[in-house]
Amino acid sequence: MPGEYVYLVTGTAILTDDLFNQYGGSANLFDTATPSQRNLAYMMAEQLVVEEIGTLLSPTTLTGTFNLPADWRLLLPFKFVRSVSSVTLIHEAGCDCADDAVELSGCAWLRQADAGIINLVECGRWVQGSIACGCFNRGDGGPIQVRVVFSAGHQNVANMPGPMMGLVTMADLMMEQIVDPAGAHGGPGDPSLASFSDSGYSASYQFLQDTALGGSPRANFAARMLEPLKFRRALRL
Amino acid sequence: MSRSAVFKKDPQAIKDFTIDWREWLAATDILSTSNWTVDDTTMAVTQTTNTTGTATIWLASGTINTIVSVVNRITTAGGRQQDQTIYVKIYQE
Repeated sequence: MPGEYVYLVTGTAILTDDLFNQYGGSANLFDTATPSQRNLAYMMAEQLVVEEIGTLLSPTTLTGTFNLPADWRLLLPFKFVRSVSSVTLIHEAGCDCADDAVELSGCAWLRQADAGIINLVECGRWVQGSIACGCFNRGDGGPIQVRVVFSAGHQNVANMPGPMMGLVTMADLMMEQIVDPAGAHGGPGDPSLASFSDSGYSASYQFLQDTALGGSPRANFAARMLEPLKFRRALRL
Repeated sequence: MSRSAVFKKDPQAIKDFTIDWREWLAATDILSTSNWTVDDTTMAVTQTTNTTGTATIWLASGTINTIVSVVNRITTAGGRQQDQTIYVKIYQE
């Protein structure tokens, strides 16, 4: 399930001008970029970091609807789950795909919160319908899906120097791509250099992929930026 | 078998639904009385039975495309009381 869901950063959770300067972000870039461009760079940096670490940079309440796992153990799409505030079990009422699902409340235990695993608990007594009371593949009358409202994300990241340095470094790279892309190590698109030679200039890049947008460093950068919007196929249904 | 179940039933079908109270009952307690409330007057209760640990209702009729709430209220020999609701969607099979 992780990887199928994305969190789109639409505002900064951590990065500010003060923190950027405090952690040694480029003064030239800072002075060249407008406040709006700096803010965009912070948001892009936070988006990339959220994807990298698999959770949010501050505790955030999220709602997701998931297929009910057979063992009632649900792997949430974000790690470092702090709490589950609501569990709603969704039953298909009848087999007609009509909008008449019945929603019943449940609850959950945090099983391995750091790994994003919770144990769902269905309320009520055991109920037995007569034979073939349910629909096709769920003959037990039980729920088909579950909607979970949960909080996930790290706390106090702004007070963690290491992660902050990582965030500011990413912000610096993003700001560079906005206001001075040619200044990036390897040029526009910030390609990774595999080798470099000074006299009689020669450079070779690594990690460049032949994306649908093209294979150039800039096309690869664009593909990276668009990654949160991409559909990612589940490993198995 | 499930908890918080939602079932389907054809209006012409007569079907039984059983709630198993044994997990909820205290070890020394048993089910004493069982009453059922059905929130749809077109749904007919043809029979109800109970054992020391389970309560069963038989349902007939109903109006197509309605979801009927069926509540079982039990009292135990020890004086405890509890409700459990099941839902039945009336569906043309």
